Amino acid sequence: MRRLKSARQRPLLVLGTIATSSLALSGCAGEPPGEVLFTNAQQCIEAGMSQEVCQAGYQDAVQAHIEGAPRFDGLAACEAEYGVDQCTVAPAGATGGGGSFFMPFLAGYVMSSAIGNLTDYSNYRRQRQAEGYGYGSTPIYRNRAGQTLTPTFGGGANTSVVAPGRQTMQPVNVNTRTVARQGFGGRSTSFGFGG
Amino acid sequence: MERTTLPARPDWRDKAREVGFGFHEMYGEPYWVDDAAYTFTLEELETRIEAPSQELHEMCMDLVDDIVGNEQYLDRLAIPSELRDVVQRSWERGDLHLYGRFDLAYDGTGDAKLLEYNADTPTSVFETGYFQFNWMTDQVERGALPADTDQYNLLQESLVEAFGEFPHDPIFHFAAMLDNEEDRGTTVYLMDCAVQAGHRVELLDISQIGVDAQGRFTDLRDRVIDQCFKLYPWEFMLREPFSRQLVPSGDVFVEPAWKAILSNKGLLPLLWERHPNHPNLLPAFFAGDTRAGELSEFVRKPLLSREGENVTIVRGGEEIASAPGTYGEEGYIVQGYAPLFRSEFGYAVLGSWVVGDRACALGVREDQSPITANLSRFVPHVILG
Repeated sequence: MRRLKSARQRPLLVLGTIATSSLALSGCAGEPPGEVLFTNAQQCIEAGMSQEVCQAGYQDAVQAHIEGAPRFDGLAACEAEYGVDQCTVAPAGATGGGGSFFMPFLAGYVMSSAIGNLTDYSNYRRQRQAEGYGYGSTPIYRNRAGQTLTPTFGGGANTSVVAPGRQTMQPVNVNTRTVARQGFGGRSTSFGFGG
Repeated sequence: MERTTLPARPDWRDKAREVGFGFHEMYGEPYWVDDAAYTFTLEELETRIEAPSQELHEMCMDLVDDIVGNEQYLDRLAIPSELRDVVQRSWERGDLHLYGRFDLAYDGTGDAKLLEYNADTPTSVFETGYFQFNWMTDQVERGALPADTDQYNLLQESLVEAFGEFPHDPIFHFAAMLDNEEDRGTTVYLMDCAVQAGHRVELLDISQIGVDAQGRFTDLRDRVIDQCFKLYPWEFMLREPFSRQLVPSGDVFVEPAWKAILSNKGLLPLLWERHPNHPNLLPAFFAGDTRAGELSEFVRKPLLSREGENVTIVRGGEEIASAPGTYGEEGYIVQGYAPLFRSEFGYAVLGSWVVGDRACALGVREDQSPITANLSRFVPHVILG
């Protein structure tokens, strides 16, 4: 039998179509969907998202937090990273080990504002799980400097969440202040740049 | 390789509209061809296109390693000296790349010849990976093509897989010139592939990229951009005033800065120098090289040029075609002439895709002129037999 050079089954465009998603995401039609950070489910509900989605997202974040929060073998080490009174004893468990470990408090969770209902959320969670992330929403932490941190989960679809060490906590997309714009694009023409 | 005609799908314009493929007509000319196909046999496709593309990519990657630390080569490629660190750093860090497209001349006989490597901002990715594939499955379903018809097309799944290799923690920003429909459509399609690979994404215009006091790139919500696909050429980025920001933060881009080496037509003489008489290469020299004068049939191309601009074809001492344009100040190369596949519908150039480091798909473009430009048409292909 000859080797196939194309897939028989191909996933569709998940963003729907390149037309609607361009509209939705280019900012022409109001606020584009993006990642939204909530400190708790109530804040999420007040932001106008569905109550079920907010609660499911929060529960997932808590679960991910319990299993995957950064752990320190002393309170001082944890507080050095996350600040005084920002750490607690980690529950003993599969990933926490038997001794006494400390972990920072959950500062909140991040979800996509594009999620409208529980079905969307379930799809989102399934997608994340398929990618090996395990949970729908992402727990976040704040370090002493106030930077937002998200844990790095390892492994593929069938591995459990790995408790990240402190070195794997990287600040990403930190908030800052823009001092200049309109940098690139000066050589633009009405034609595209496809080669 | 042959060109065949078959009935167009009666509803193909609706299908194009449904998926937002607005650029099936561009600049007032038809772009997508629904009632024709280029046909290949499996053996022809594997031995003449797929295997050589894989080999060419590997030769190119070896060459980057040679060029990136060599000031003389970087001079020849007109890489600005103050930004060579950015290019070198991205290579030494092993910054991941996403995709590239070889343009090949192949007239149905002999070896396919490399015309150039669009390794930085290749387009026609949506047409190749998505619309061409749906065209084939529709035509098979309609009975216009046999049930065992195949296509050399693992582009979409390869893109999803390649996006999966990039870090998932930061938002994957996507920057392009959003007022250009083709560029926007291409970028949004790639963004869709990134979403399928589990990324959070955000789209912005290339001119909307900001910078903070520490020199980090920022988005419209004042967040630091940690990872950014850009459909905007490195040769422009390296030459704009904002390029000074690349020194502290230029590592966030996909394609990475080292792609500036491969998307430069100076690659062609360097490849020829290293692999003389390779069956898939054409003799190529920097303009001014005495060996260039020995070519009786040749094509003169600027080091940096897009959409066929400033390209001249000379055969038998006569200029048979030339395209106007605004490129050329960085210099030219001269490349031996290779005949393209030709039919009553025009000349065809093969676009052979590499995603990650794997050759994976084909798209064919056709033009009335032997210089393929932005008014060329996209014609789907199939494997029969």
